Amino acid sequence: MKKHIPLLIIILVSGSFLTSCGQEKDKSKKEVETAVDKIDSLKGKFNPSATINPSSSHWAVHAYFDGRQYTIDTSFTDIRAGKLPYIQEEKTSMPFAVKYYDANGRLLGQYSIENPTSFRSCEPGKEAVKPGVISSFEILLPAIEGIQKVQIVTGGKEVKIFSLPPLRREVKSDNTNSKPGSTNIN
Amino acid sequence: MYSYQSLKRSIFIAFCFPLAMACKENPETFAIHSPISPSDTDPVTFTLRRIGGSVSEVKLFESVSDVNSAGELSGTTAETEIQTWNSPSFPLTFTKTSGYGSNKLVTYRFQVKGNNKTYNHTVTFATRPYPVTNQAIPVYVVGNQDKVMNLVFIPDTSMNSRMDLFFSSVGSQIDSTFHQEDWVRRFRGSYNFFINPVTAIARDFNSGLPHGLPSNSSNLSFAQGRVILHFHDIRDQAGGGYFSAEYYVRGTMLHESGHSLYRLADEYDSNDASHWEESVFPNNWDNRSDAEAAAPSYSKTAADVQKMGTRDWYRICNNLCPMRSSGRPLNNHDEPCKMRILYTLLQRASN
Repeated sequence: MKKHIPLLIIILVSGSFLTSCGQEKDKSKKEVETAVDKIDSLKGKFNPSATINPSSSHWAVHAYFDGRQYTIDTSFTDIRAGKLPYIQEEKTSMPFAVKYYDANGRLLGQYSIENPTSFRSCEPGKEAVKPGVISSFEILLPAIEGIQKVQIVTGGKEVKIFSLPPLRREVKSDNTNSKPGSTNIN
Repeated sequence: MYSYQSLKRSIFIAFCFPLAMACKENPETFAIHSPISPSDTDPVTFTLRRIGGSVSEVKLFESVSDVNSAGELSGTTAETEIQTWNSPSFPLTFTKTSGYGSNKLVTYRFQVKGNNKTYNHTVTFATRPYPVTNQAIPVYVVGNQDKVMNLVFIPDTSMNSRMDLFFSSVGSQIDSTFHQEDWVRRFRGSYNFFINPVTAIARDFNSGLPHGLPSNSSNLSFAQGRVILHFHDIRDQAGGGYFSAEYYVRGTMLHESGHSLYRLADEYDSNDASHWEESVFPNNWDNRSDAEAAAPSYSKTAADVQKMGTRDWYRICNNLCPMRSSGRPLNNHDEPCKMRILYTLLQRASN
């Protein structure tokens, strides 16, 4: 009998492994599958008319930087199709933070991005950033009612605060192609 | 006599043997079509490749809609089965030889069965010319623009005389970058890819000039990633929400999309690199002790923590991390970057 003990162990343990193959094999793989399933259940369907008749939109405000100061053109507030492309943050972490408040000074949301007045090149050992060289850029905001003031923070310091004009709910769809240097390839 | 050594060997074999045996795994496959942006008369080939797992049956379905200048759909055909493979041998291909005509939006679905599971890959693309003027052309879209990541490929003016190369490069980037890196590919249902109908100008970083943006730039602000593909030999740069890349590079695409899609920070050893610490699932830490404390949650140890440059910035990822390199080679993301990617995709889908 004793000589069969090793075989018995192999059969019993192998059997238990094989029957529970999917469960025991890789916990993290299952967690990933769960995440994939969750994202798949939430992702919805592509909407080709969303650019013209959007169900969500965001604002674009034109901003300028002269090397020292920021200027905001509040007369130009463009409404764009689609949700704000940035993730809202509890605590901003990137160099250029945009915070927006209601009339009572309550923080409605905030996000941060790389400094839009700079450009960079990822190449170890070489100059990587040209700071403050882009003089014209856009500040994007969610198209929600109630945003009264917008604050720009760089390096942890407020560099600009401005008021927004009342929300205009129309989508600006640029169907022109007047910019020099661009060619339509469609 | 039954020995202790023999018992140990038996237990070892008993535990290891089943692990070594190939369990039946759930099928993992990915789909692509070619050309990625077909003209009205181009034949279209649909391909399904297998990553792993057992597949018993695959079916391919299609549905075609007319799309007008407002992006509205009409005349949508019922979903039709166009091919079935039993006991399939991969890769699977099917070619629609007649083309789909103009002003069409085509949706195809690979239904994959195996290991008592059924998966669907549903992909939509437009034929050229796309009637929604000056809007990004959907070439491989899988979900609502507000719920998934959106990446727009923009031709540089140097591509004007090489548009076939541009279109094939976009297909290659989707297939050989986003469907090649192990982790990103797992979430292949989380990315919409578009082609911009107007060109931009990719400029050399050393010129001191930013990229020349496309005239329809205001229509692209919904996208998390905007890449100008070019034919030049220049030092690529990123700024103003756009980055540039040679049409054939994979590593740069993965590195820069790491910045723009998931907010991954640089991991290479340079004081000038872009470092910051995200408050949730960072891939950079601004002090060693925090990085060491985080290491075990990524199945790493304190010994895996590396300082980047001479400033106080630390990483845990291995040396092959795409955020540590760029250029032509393509490497897989390591654990901290993987968790950051997963977090941003879930955030995007959930909010």
